[in-house]
Parts: sequence; structure tokens; C-alpha cells
Amino acid sequence: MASDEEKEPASEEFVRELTSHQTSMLAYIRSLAPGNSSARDVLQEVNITLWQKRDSFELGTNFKAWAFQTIRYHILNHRRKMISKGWLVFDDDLVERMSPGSEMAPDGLEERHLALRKCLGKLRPKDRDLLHHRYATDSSLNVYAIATRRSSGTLKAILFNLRAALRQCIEKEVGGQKGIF
Amino acid sequence: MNRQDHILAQRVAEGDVSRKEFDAFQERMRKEPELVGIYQAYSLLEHTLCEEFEGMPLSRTDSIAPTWSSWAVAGSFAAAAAVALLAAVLWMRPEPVAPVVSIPSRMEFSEDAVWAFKGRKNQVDGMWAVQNGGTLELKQGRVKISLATGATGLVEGPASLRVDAPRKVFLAEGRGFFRLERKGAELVVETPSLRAVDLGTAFVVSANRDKPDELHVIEGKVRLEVGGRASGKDLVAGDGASVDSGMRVERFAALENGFPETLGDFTTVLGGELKAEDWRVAKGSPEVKYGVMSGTDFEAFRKVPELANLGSNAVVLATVEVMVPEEGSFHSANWSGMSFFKDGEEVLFFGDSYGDEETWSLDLKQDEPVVFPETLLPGARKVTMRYNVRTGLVTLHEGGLPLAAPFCGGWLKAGQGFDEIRLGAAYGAGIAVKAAEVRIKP
Repeated sequence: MASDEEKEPASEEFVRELTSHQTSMLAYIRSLAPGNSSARDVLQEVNITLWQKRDSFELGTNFKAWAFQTIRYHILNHRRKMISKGWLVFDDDLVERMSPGSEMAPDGLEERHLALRKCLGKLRPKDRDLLHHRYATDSSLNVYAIATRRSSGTLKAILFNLRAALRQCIEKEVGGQKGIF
Repeated sequence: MNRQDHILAQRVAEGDVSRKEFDAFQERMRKEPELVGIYQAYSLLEHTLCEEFEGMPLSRTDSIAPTWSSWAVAGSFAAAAAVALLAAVLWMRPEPVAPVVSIPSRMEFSEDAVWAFKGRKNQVDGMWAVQNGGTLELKQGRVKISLATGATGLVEGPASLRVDAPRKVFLAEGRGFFRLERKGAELVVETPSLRAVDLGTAFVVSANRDKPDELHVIEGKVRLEVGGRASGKDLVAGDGASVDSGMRVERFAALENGFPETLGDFTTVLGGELKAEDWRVAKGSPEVKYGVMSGTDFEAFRKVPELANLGSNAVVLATVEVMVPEEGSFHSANWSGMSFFKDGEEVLFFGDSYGDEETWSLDLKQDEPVVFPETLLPGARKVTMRYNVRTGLVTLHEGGLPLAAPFCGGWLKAGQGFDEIRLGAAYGAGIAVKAAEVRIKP
């Protein structure tokens, strides 16, 4: 049995691993259950599971693989409940198919975030405002359409174009990395 | 893949499709592997956009002003925190922005911290893993925040802050020392007036209700942005700047030290069983029996050299527990209690002050009137005085730690030192001190 002195650094290291992988984990959950505003809750539940099972994780091994596997099991086990709440959840075979192959490290996600910020800087202010409205407020696109005297259909089309442009820009910035997670 | 496929992949990533459309999309994904890749790319973009935009800063008016009356609530949460797991604590008014990103940061609090966190939190080995987007209201004490990206912040109360994302802290009010703990980490600290983008360094940010927000660069380089502009000025070690609500920037030399970098543990400089030999009796004949010092019309002094040169961020706690005295009365027209002296001059007293009010009270001398509580607090009890050396704030709290709402408060000059304390009671008054303890946090 480990002494307290031995256990303490292990817990510290585990928490460090857990926190540093939160971005990747949340992104993965969002990809398996798209548009789910409760993705944070799922993440929290997975965090608890990981914490409860921390003794079975060997420090120094691949934390991300272990965490992602736990997420997959969580989604598989809770699929029915999630769907009953109206959430979109990919079928089991697609969940397995979307399992990260070439896994991206947290630093990689960080790099994409920095790239996004750079790409956003290249947009027109009114396009940034539109993205800000879409992602920073709970207000509907219709409300913004009225405020900006444009149709919501036009705004939706602009958003599609903006995302497509941002995706390309980010890929260019990060050097065309293929791996997603 | 054509444009329509890209649009469809975006709509799925947003969750903006019907169940029927989603099922049809899944069928196509099984047959068209390329569609899986496009979907994953847009899903990741959706996630990154959420991270970037959600949890935008609150305005100054959205911050929550600490009030004495909210201490009791905060204190009860601090106590409940010891046993709560995954408790959603809602005590402040609703947040105007509901951030989505749920990447926990870790928070550790000093022993004297009084705080409340609005949002989800888990206790992990004495630390709290808190959900980003939650709001921390730190009434007093210190908190160490460890962000997932490898940056840390040491924030002093009173402060109000929110960790918006793994790399972003919004400091609505208060002062924090921030540092990158590893190479490649990233940190942005925002206040209502400025945005500090860490470029590999250590720096201090303060957000102030009644004066301009400030940035002090201690090491390395920081980019200062104001007015929401992405471009900014790079400040290097030794540079400081303030930004007022009108976005006016004033440069000055940074304060290089005086900022706490650790939570700080309290060290007991006076405590344990009361013994007669530890005290110099200057007046009267107090009795020390079974660890209780009691008597009437006496003054007993004890040197405490550790109190003479207190650090600029030090906090002093003095706890006195009194019993009902066999001789005289704790409450009288005269005084009985504990005093702090400097160079032979009494600087601070708490206990029963001069006057007819039968209550614990605070006397900060300086020819100022005694501070009485709104609701009288009489009799035998344990009371803790807390003095914040940096701000000069002195508060009295019931109990052995200053976690309950203060029942008295006032201001001593900042940086005040002491060299001696006194236990005693004046003529006609009596006191029985069961325990006296003085602790210092550097």
C-alpha cells in the first residue's frame, strides 16, 4: 500500500493530467453528441468516473486514450437516456469510427485555438460581430437579423461561409494537420 | 464533397438538424468516409468557436459588490464546501452570460479564505476542481488558481473573478499575481478596462472599483490591450500601466515586489497553555490556574517580536477565548480584553471597551470612537481579530477563525507593526482568559 507521501504526488499528477485534457475531452464529447448544450454536464460525469477509477490508471501511460475510451463507454451506456432528452448522438458503430486515430495532444488544440484567433483577426468587424452574436449570446439569429436589418437566411448563409473560410484558414495556419483529435 | 455537404456537416455539428436528417447523415457517413472527416473538422471548429466566444467579459456593472451582509452566506458555503461533492451553489444573482466551456481549473484557498463559487465544483484532495464559466467571489483570504493550460494565479480577496476558458481569467475586481508555470502555456487576464496577454512571464493585474485598473510586469513580456482592440503595446519587466474607464492609458514603473505569490500558512507566534512565567505583570495580580488567566484591575504584557516587522501582505489573527470571571465582570463601565502595543503606545484593543454597552467591541485608538457591533455580542465566547496589513482593515469575528461575518470592523493604518500584547482588565472590570493565540500569515 502506498504511503500518504507517495499517494499525494500521484493524485497531483492525476489531476494535472485530467485538467490538461479537458479541452480535448470536451471537443470529443461535442463531436459524438453534436449541438448538445449539456456537453459540459457529460464532461463532468466523465470526470467523476475518471476520478473514481484513478487507481486503475497507470501514470505515465496514455491518459488521453484512457479518457476517450471512458467517454465512448459513457456515451454508449447513456445513449438511450440522451436520445430521450432529444439529443443527437451518433450510433455505436459511428462512435467507434470517430474514435481518434492520430490523437492530437492538448497543445495541438491550443495551437488551433491560436490559429482561430489569428484567422478571426482577418475578418471584417461585422462578420466577427455576427460570430460573436452566434457564440457568445443566447439571443436568436432572428433578433440579430432585425437589429442589423438583414434577413436571418442571409445571416445563416454568411455563417456557413465564415465557418468554411475559418476552417480553411486554420488548416493553413497549423500546416494542414490531418488528425482531428 | 460539394458545398451542400459542407453546409450539412456544419448544421450537424451545430445540432441544427432534425432527427430524420441526422439519421440520413449517419447513413451517408457509413458509406462516405470523407464525410466523417469533414464532419469532424467542423465539429472541432464549432468547439473552438465556442471556446473563443463564450464567456465574454462581464461589464463593471455586472460584477458583484462584496457586502458585509453576504459574509454569512459565504461563510456557510465555506463550511459546506468541506463535505460537498458536485454541489451546484447558487447564491449570487444570475450570470448575464452562460459560458459553455467546461474545462475545470483547480482552486486552493488559504485557511482564512471566505468565498463562494457559483458553478460546479468537485473537491479533490483539498483542492477544488471548478467548472470554467463559474464565478468566484472571494471575500477575504487568498486563492491559488491553476489553469489547465499551465498558468497559475494568486488572487487576494476581496476579489470577484471568473475563469472563462482554460487560458482566460476575467478579474472583475481584486488583485492577482499571474505566472506561466511551463513553457508554451498561455494566459489572458481581462479586467473591465484592460486585457493582458501573457507572452511568457509573470505579472500582476488589479481591477479596481474606484480607480484605474493596473498592470505590473514582473518578469518577461506582456501585451496590453485596451478597448477590445486585438493590437496592443508590449510591456516588459519593470513596466506598469493603468487604464481608466475612458480607456486612457498611463505608463509608470511597475511595483516589483509586495505581491503575494503563495497561499501562505498561518504561523502561531503566541499560543498554547497560558503560563504565568510567559507574562510580565505591570499592574495588579492576575492568577494563572489550570491554564486560565483571570483577575481584576491587572495588566499582563508579553513581547511578540514577530509582529514588529510584518510583510506588506501579512495577515494577523488574534484569538481570545474568555470565560465568566470569578472576580469582577467582563462587562463594566471600564475595559477588559486584549491590546496590541507598538513602542509603548496602545494601537488596537478588542474586548469590552470603555462605556456601558455590554458587548465585545473594537477600539482602534487614533482618537476615534469605539466601534460597537450593530447587534450587541455579550459574554463569554471566543473571538478572533483579523488585521490585513496591506489594506489596514481590522475585523472581529466570532470563533477561532475569521470565517463568520465580522461583527465589527474598522481601519488601522496599513503596514502597522506591533511589539507587545496585553491581556488585562481595568479597575472594576474582570476577565478570565481561557486561551489566547496570535497567528501570522506572511
